[in-house]
Formats: sequence, C-alpha cells, structure tokens
Amino acid sequence: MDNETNSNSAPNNQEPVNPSIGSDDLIKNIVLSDSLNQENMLEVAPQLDKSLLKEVKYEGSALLVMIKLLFIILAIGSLASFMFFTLRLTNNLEFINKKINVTNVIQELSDTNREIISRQTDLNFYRYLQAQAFLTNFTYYGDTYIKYSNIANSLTASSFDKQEAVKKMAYYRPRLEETFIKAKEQLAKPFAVDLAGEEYIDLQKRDAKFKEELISKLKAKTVELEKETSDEGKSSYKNYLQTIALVQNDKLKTRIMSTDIKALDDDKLTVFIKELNGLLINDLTIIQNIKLNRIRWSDVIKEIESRTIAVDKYYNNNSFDTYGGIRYTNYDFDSKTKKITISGDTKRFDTTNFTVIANLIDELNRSPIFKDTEMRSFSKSGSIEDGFTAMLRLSMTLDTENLGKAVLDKKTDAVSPLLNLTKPQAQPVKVSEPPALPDTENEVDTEDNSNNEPDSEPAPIPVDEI
Amino acid sequence: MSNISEKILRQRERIQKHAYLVLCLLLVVGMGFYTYTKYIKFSTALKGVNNNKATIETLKTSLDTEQEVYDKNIKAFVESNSTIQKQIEMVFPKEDRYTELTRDIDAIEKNLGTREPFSVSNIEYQKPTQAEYYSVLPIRMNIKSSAQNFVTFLHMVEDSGAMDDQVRLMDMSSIRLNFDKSQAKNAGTPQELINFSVLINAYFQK
Repeated sequence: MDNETNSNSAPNNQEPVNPSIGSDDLIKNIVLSDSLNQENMLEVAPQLDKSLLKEVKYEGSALLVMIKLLFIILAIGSLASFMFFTLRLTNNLEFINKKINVTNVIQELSDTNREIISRQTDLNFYRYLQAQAFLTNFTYYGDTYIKYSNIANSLTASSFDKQEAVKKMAYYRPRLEETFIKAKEQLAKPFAVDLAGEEYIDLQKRDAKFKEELISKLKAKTVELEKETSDEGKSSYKNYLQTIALVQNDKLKTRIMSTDIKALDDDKLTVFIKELNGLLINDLTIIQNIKLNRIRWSDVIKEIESRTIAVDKYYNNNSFDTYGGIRYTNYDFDSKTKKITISGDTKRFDTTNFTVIANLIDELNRSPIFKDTEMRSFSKSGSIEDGFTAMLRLSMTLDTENLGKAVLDKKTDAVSPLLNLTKPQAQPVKVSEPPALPDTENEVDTEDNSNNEPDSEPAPIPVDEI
Repeated sequence: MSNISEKILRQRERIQKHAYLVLCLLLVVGMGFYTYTKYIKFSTALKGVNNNKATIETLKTSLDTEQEVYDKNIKAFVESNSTIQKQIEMVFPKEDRYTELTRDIDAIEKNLGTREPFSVSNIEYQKPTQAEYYSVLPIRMNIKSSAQNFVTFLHMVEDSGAMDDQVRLMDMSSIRLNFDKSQAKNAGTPQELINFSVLINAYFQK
C-alpha cells in the first residue's frame, strides 16, 4: 500500500504507468486518495447492472439431453455386455464369478469335454482289453488250426493224419469264428464321440486325442505292473503292452473290420490267420511267424522225388541195380541260404547217363519251388555188360515263396517213403506215376487221434455273455 | 451481445450433439460387433455344454454296462490268458531250457525207436543267438534212422510249437542225409538206414 501511495505521490516519476493495473485498483487508489484528503481525480465510480448478463443464459436443447441419455444408456449397455461376456467367456474376473456364482461357459465346455474324453477312454479301455482277450484266443485257436491245415495240405502226411487234421480243423473253426466275431464287435463300437470346441472340429485330431488318452491309460497300468514278480502280474503287464500295440495298429483294425470270417473257406481262413498273425504282436504271433518262415523239408523232398520219377520211371522202386536209373546218396539242405545239394549216381545200360542227368536238371528247373538247378561237370565209367555209372551232384535254390502255394495247389494224398532207392522191385512203375502209398501201419503216431478235441485248450472266454 | 452468446451456445450445442451422436454410433457399432461375436461364441459354447452334458449321461450308462460286463468276465479273461501263457511257456520258454529239451529228445528217440530204428548218437548245443523278438538255441544232432522214422521226425520238427501237443518250437536249419546200406545189411534187416546230421533251431523268448 505504501508503495502504491508513493507511486501516486510522485507524479514526476518517469516510469510508465503499469498497464496491468486494473480498473478496480484505480478506483481503490482514487477512493484512497480521497480519504487521505487529496484531490479527487475521478467522479464516484458508476455501478454496473450485471442483471443484463443474466438474461443471456441459454436454456439448452432437449435433443442434446436425449442424445446424452442415449449415450449413457449405450455406454451402460456396452459395459454390461462387456461384463457379461467377460464373466461367461473368460476367467479374467474369476473372483466375481465365484462371488455371484456364475460359471464360465468356456471353462464348463472344457470341463465337460474332459469328462467325455475320460469316460470314453474308460469305455475304450474295457473294450480293447476284451478285444485283446478275444484276439489272443483267436490266435491261440488259429495256431492249432494252421497246424492241422498244414497237415491236411501236406504232400507227405498219411491219409489217416489228413483226415484227422480235417476233423480237427472243423472242431476249431467255430471257435475261431466266435472269438473273431466277438473281437470284431468290440472294435466296431465307437472309439470316439463328438466333442464341442474348435479344436475338435477336425475328426482326425479328435480321434487322435482319444487314442492318445487310451494309450496313456494303458501305459499307466503297465507302469504300475512293471515291477510285478508274480505270474499273474507279469501276464497282466504283457497283456497291457499287447493291448497298447492293438490300439496303435490301425491296419489290423481295418483288416478285422473288413473281414467276414464266415465267408472264408478253409484255405482262405488259414491265409487270413497267417495275415493277422503278421499284423498282431504277441507271443502267439511271434511263434506263428517263426512257424511261417519254417521250410517243410518233407515237402521239398517229396517234390524232388516227384520230379525224379518224371525222368526215371524206375525211381523209388529199388530197381537201380536191375534197370538202372537214378539213386541219391546224399542230400544237403540249408534253410539260411535256401541251397540244396543232391549227390548220387545214375546207371544206364545204353550209355545215355548224361541225357538222364540233363533231363533231371530240366525237370527240376520246371518245378515252381526250385530254381537255378545246375551241374556243370559230367563224368561216367563202366561197360555195356555192367552198365555205365555217372556221378550226380546237383545244386539248386529253393523258392520258398512258391513252396506254400505249390503245396496248396497239389493237395495230393501221396506219402513219400523217402528215397527207398536201393530196394529192388520186380515190377517197374510207369514214368510220371506217383509212387505207391506207403504202409501207414508202421507209422509212429505221435498224436492222440482217438478224440478230435484237443488235449488242452485255454479256459474259454464266456463269449455268450458279452 | 445476447445473440452472440446464444449463437456460441447453439454452436457448442451442435458440436456436442454431433460428438455424442458419433460416440453413440461408435458404441453401437463397436459394442454391437463385440456383442454379436461374443454372443455367437457364447451361444455355441452353451449349446456345446448342453450337448456334452447329454453325451456324458449316455456315456455314464454305457460305461456302467461295459464295466459290469468286463468285471463279470475278467476272471475268465485272466484264467484264459494264464492258461495260454502256461502253454506258451511249454513251447516257447523264457530261457533256453536245454536240459528239458534233452529229455524231450530222449523221449522222442524212445518213442520212435520202439517200432523202427531211430537213435540219436550226438547232441551239441551251440551258443544261443538273438533275433528281434526271440532267441535261438542251435542244436546239432547226428541221427541214424529208418526212412520212415526220418519222415516222422521231420514232421515232428515241422509241426512243433503247436499249443495242443506242447512240443518245443523248433525248425530245421540244415539237413545232411547219407544213406547207409552196410549197416542194414550187417544187421540182417532189409531196411535201409539213413545217417543224418541236422542243425535244429530251438526257440525261446527274448
């Protein structure tokens, strides 16, 4: 205030009047100078009528209010929508979900999907274990069936053995059909069910999920039993492992589902069992596969004999010394290399030993089960009176792929007496006639032929109940 | 003065209206889209949940039935499996069990030798080898036999490993046959004897 007074009382001061000083300050200064008995510079300040300004106030538009109201409603609606879907579709506001007891649908969907997978996996678990049990029985019966089928189709088995084998095949056939059909029924049941959710739209992925779950469940069982020492525990452990292999084997399932076992004749059924054994892996099929790769040397010997008879009409009649012909003294068979070496002699009274050997080579090469038969060196000795003798040393390769087919094609009832070369016989047989049937009385019967039923078979699965 | 203020206010009001309308429009479009997409998702999920609940009920019933059947048959399954395993043990044992095999060969010799000549003069067990799923015990044998017994022996090996006769699973790896006439003559029998040396594979579990 003193400063202001000083500034007013010093008009000679050269400093310019501060323009920022407002009219109120000015009036105050004037009033102040008046009260201090100084000379008034201005008249009394006029009074302003501010009421004029009040009249300018604008009432506002109802439309704007409505728009604002609409905006508010929309904003609240949007918020409500956001809250609703956030609560029902996400877990972002889980604490509110719990408080107001509202479930998240996506979570619920996921939970129900999980429950379905779990229940379907349990179903699959029981079904596949049953299918595995039936298939094990099928391969068990199949093992015996194939054995008798081999005997029935053998070139060297006796008629009696063949008849018995056919009877036993007839005994086992219904059991095979029954166990196969029951296994098929289990595998035909739905493996997967519909699941809601984008990730399960692809059916392959969905099925893969069910398969994965089932394998996990079976693996968990094997882990439980891995260290079991009891026979039952070991057996169950193996059973679970084999069931896992069954679950993973789509080719086997497809083959089973596409086969009408009742429509198969005996030969086709045998082939089918062998095919299934190639697809399944269990102890029985391992055994079967070893058997499948075995060479029936008795049939090979029989084939050599048949081909020899085509060349030498006196063969196998023990007439070598009298009429000449072919006599074998040594056979050498090797399963690994499939090589066969045959040694022997040929005897002729007309010097045509080499022709006989050449004919024999050609005849053996005509056989579907032999190939590459050869003998590169020929030599003979003797006289017209005593006959000429030529050494025989043939080597050939066995075509095992054709062996089984050739046996099935022939199905002859002839039984080889195995190279009865040195027993002379008065009456020579005609060329190409099969040798006479052997006396079956002397055969050692190693099987119990008194009953067609097998001596032992597994405890039957109560298939009727399933 | 009054007109200017009113104009300013009306102008301001117009701007506000436009602004609010734009905001409303944005809200309608934005939240409409949001609500629509979320609703589709929600209704699909809800439908899925309802379907799943129905499926669960069906599965519950099926599972109960299946479990009941399985439980009823489990004993038979285990028994059957156990019987099969025991039979497998006979033909395809867990170890080479060469002593048992030796006794079996002796029994075969005794059985075949009762009617016609059949004698095993030598058995030699070689070192077992392993394949992918099984092990192999090679056996070399020298046998003197009649032709008929030779065929019977071949058949026994060829048909071995069947569950019903429980003969150890074997196959013939190689055969070497020699026909011995002198033996038969010396013995005064008309029957020819065959000397054969065989390499047999006896199989056992890996």
